[in-house]
Amino acid sequence: MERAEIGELFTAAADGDSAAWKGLVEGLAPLVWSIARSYRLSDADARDVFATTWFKLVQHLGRIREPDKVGAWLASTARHEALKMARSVRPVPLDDHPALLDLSSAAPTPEEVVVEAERQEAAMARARVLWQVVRELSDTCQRLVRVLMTSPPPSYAEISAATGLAVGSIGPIRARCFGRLRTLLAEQGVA
Amino acid sequence: MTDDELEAELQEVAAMFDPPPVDLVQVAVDAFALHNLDGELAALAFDSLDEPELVRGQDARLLTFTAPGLTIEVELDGGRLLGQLLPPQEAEIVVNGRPPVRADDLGRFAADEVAAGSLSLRCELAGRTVVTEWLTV
Repeated sequence: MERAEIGELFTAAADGDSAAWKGLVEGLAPLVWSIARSYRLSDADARDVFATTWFKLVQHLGRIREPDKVGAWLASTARHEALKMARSVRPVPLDDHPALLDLSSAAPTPEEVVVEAERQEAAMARARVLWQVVRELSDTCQRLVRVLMTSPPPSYAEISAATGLAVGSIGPIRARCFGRLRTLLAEQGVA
Repeated sequence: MTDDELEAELQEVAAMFDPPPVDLVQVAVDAFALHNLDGELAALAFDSLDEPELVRGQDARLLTFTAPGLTIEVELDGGRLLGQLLPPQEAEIVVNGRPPVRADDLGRFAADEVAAGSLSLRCELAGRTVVTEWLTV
């Protein structure tokens, strides 16, 4: 989604256009979700942070002065909610494992294995290793990298709002985190 | 492989393993219907989770919302919610769209079994409606 489009969608939504709101949610949901995930919250907490962030944007529809910055507003709101959840002492149900850890659910079924070409299996295995090593990064790196994994890619202002990192430090930290990621990949025998 | 290529691959991996849950995206889409229900907004002015050093050892979550001429104090302990309107006044309080509870003439109100999740209070006061900013509890 183009950033200019976000501003237009927000303005239309603030005027009551529900289709524009839907477009806005669908365009920015991956960013908001990535932030909830980047704080290693439980599934339930990540879901609540996501929902609260959007409910709050609805409350602020008529109050945001710079529609182009609504992505950064959402990112900042989600980060703030996620930080508080990370600090709170909500009881976590025993069956509530973060899906991030649940790699088994992505494993192919026997039928799929038969059907899938070997090349696809290799690609899947590689994707699984990538997903796993991201979780082995430091907190700072994981927060940044999880947000960078958002598609469509967030703007620098949004990354900054999502991570709390100054815009100027995002580039150098990204380079360092990706370097660490390559080391971890190499240890797993993945180029 | 450059960093940009690695990033592009990571984006595909996240979309594959951890996309925003479809039902949750629908919740956000549906939330638009709430925008016409808005009253005056009471902003979050204090949250004990923002001040861990002040409330260390205390399990209850203390929240203060303010709107012009009105303060709403909330204490959440487990699923128990205790509230206080200042200045004290009678009102109907709707917690997350549930049947309203009554604030007495001292401005006190209570609600039980407030589930973990997103929370907003809608306060029907004499002549005005005030809603608190959403937050996660």
